[in-house]
Amino acid sequence: MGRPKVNSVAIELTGHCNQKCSYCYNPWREDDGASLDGSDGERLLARVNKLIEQVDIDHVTLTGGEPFSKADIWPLLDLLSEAQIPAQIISNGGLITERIAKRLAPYAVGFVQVTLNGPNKALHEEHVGEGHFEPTLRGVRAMLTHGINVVGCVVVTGKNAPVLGETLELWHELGVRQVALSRFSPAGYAAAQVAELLPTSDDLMCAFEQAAAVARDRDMHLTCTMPVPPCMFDFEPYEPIEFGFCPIGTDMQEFALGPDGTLRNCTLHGRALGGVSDIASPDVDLAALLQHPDVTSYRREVPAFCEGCLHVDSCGGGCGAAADWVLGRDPDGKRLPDPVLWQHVDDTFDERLRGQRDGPRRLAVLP
Amino acid sequence: MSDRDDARERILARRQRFIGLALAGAGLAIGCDPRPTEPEPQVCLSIAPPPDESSAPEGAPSASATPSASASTPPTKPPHPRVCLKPVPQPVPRPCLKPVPPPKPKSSG
Repeated sequence: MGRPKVNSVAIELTGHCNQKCSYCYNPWREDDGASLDGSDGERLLARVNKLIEQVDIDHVTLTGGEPFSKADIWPLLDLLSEAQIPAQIISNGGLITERIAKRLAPYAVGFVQVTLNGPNKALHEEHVGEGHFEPTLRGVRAMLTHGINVVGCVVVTGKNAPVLGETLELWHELGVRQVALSRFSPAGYAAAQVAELLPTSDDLMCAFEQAAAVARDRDMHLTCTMPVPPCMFDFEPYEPIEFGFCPIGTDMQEFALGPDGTLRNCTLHGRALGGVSDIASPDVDLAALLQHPDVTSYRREVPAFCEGCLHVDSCGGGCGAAADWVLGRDPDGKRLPDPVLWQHVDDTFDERLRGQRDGPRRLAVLP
Repeated sequence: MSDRDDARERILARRQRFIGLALAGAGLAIGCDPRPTEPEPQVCLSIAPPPDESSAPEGAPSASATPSASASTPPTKPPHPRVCLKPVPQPVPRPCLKPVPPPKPKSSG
């Protein structure tokens, strides 16, 4: 029997990040990764080596924390290059200098995906912390100068949804033509920010309407990279934006390898597959771990609200990780639907959100 | 009626419609796909990697030739990096724009 095939593994190089994003899905955001045993570069390479040996990986995504905050990214890129495994990188771009961009260029990574959360310093930094707007722009420009493919990203929140079109114009101005619209999905640290950041159905429709217009006018390629349950609204008016659904349990799944050595269903999920604390342990069989019921049974469990729906097999209720982080389970122990949907359906959750909001979410910088 | 009430009403009405369609199998029975906007599974936080044209099996269709139910995408649009999330007749999990003609293993879930 050959090695099991996996679409992708997101390798979280470090828990550390130079930014302090309010929407961060990492549970270790609070202590900046200090609680993780992820500082040993040799251990990281051993884990990735084991993955390469035991699993047929289509590609990997290097992320964190901020992957460029850790020097281990270079030997890791060497290892992946040697193994001929394509890599792409998610970074905030703020640590990417001319020198780093020049060093990165020969690796020919698929792309580096960088996030801007607003068309101006105030709104972007409202999401990620002060002092990061200009460094991110510099990083993007440096990469483009050195021929690195930059993909943009906007985390669409209740705060920045009204100006998504302007944010996309900024991406276009920078020379980026492909942007991921990562509608905010609360997990990890961000689960506590749900009242402030969760976009409503109207927020999303407003944002996608602007985005679709920009995509058509500017010939930009936009993908909504977080699932939106199709019962929320029709996607067709927002063409050419592309929508998808959660890939866990399908052959499009992207597993997450944490800085602590755990393997998870995705970057947003907090639970280690099979309770395994470090995949580098000699007794861990990765082929068996990938067939753990945490993976294979995932799609069989659907929220009661979604039972009988035409789309249940694909949608599955939206982001199950966000549902677990924010809502927990229903009285029967079943998963609840994605909070982005549930805020409109469940009065208790709606009241909870209203109670946590101490004022208007809109910023003064918005029109 | 508040915005929230509007959204709730819309969501519950759409859900009811989807349940009705599932129960009746109406779309399939009359030859009309009731899932015109059924998306594909995709990684949540990033777009998919560029298609590796060089690794395509001989005779395989190119990424840009992957059948799509949508005619709205200009064929000249740069094919990388992107995920093929266009509606397909069957909402089965499939890799993104990879030119993979051989049958894929079914979803493990």
